[in-house]
Amino acid sequence: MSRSLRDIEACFQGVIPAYLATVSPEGTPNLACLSVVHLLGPNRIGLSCQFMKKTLHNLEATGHGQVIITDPTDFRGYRLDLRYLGLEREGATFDRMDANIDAVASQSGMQEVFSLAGVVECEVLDWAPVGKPDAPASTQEPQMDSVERLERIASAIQSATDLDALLEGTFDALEAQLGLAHGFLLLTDEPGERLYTIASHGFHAARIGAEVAVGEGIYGSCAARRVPMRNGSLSRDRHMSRAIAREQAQDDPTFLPLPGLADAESSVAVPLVLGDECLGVLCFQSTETAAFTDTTERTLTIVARHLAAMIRVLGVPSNADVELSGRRGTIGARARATRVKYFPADASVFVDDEYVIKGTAGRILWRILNTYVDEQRDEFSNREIRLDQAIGLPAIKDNLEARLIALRKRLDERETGLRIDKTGRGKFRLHVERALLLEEQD
Amino acid sequence: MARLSEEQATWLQGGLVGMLATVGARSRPTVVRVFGQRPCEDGTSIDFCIASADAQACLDDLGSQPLAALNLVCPRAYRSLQFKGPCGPTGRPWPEPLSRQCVERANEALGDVGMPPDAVQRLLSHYANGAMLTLRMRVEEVFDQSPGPRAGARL
Repeated sequence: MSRSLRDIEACFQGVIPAYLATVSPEGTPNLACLSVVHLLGPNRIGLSCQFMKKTLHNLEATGHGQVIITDPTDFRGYRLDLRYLGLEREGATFDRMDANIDAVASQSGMQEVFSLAGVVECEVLDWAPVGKPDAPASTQEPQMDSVERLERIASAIQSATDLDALLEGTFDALEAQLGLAHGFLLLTDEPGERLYTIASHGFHAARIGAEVAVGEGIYGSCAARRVPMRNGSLSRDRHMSRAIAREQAQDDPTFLPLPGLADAESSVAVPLVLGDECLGVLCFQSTETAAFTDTTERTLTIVARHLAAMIRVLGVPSNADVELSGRRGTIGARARATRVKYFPADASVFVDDEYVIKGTAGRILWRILNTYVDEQRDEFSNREIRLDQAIGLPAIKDNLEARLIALRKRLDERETGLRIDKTGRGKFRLHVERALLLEEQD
Repeated sequence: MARLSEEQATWLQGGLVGMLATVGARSRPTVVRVFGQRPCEDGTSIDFCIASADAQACLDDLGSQPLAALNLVCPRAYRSLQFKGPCGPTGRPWPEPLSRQCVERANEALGDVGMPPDAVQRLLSHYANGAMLTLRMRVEEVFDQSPGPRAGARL
């Protein structure tokens, strides 16, 4: 077999269900509908074993099956003749499929029902398009040199001198080299329990600071399981997700949904793994069905490793003391005061009754606003923030730079009349447009 | 021989997509896409059609082993039934009005789950001339194939 199944990679994104036929030892045929067939290698596929007892029995008894898969871009079907290799109940392939099923099931509370019993691995003995015998097989357009593209992205990552430039440069390079126009980066918080949005690229609403729990949904599962997640047909889940988002928004005034395209059809998420840690998740969306290929996912996995290493390098705290001006900046028009409310229970901050941010970033904002009012000072050092025990940053790996970036972007996005600018290595300035009224709530 | 319930007969006239599996040499299966179906008046059989251009392997299989499995799915509800029994060509053409009706209803059902409004036409475009071959299955067994812990239960 000279062709590779990678030539018809779009068929393996789970957009159009596949059908697997098997035959019992007594000669009775059986059909099973599969939501997705996984491409494991040039001539090897994996089938998630859920609710297919009879199919598995037949495969084990006869060793053969045939599956029809369909390319969602042109709706051409392909028949694959299969030889059963075995049922895997552990290992990398199993973990990855299990994580994907868990992620989808967790959105509907169906984890117990939709559990993975195993992965049926099959060798593809032969495959051919159905229908017109002379019709050309679906082929992808010639690719540019993928190594060169990857090199350019890696170069953009490694040329960054601070975290802000790193994030902007990475998303710009990914769009220029891979056409990934809509993406965001989630970083893991200090206890490792939640992910928060630190960078957003190409969305109408950046939603910096939006959070999701580790283990929740597709992106949270990606971090918890440390495996890439790819979905080429999101429309089936979208109505449920919207309903959940609405309910949360009503219950919790600080709820902020993650960035996203309203009509996203495809998503891909890769974990930022460094050693035994997961620093975050890099996510992309597209309105096109089956937009992200296996090659895209593998490229992003490499990019995510580089990005994780650079985040760690650039996020290392500077021990040097910095000189602060100690002056208070010019106050703008005082005709109307900016009212800032702080809720210590979740460290959430509201400006003029609009939610801005919470958690560690909320504590930082509240701290500098109080200093600004009490000490008449508008310049701050990262070091003094680190040393302030009320903020509660951990002694090491504190993500302070990332928190400050998220805070700065969030203040800009909400047009609060408050602004933070970096004024040098390890220091930043708070700009306040109007007089401040600070209220700490019980 | 199984008698189709009234509810099943009604369901068979809705927007469904389907596949047929037959058994070839050395117990190797063959799968072909089904483009339309209807319950027969005898209450125990189903007529359905497959693309003539894609039928040869299936007909070869049925010539030596007439037992087949017909899987039909309603995309809107993910409800799926599997019918098993002897099957063969009827020798009669698949009626054009019925063909249009089946395609229209399947398109509507697929559209409800995010597929393009002409999904079935797109599938059909890959067959030489769109000609259909009519087959009839005398249903002996019916199984609930809807996803879930009860998948495969005999009805």
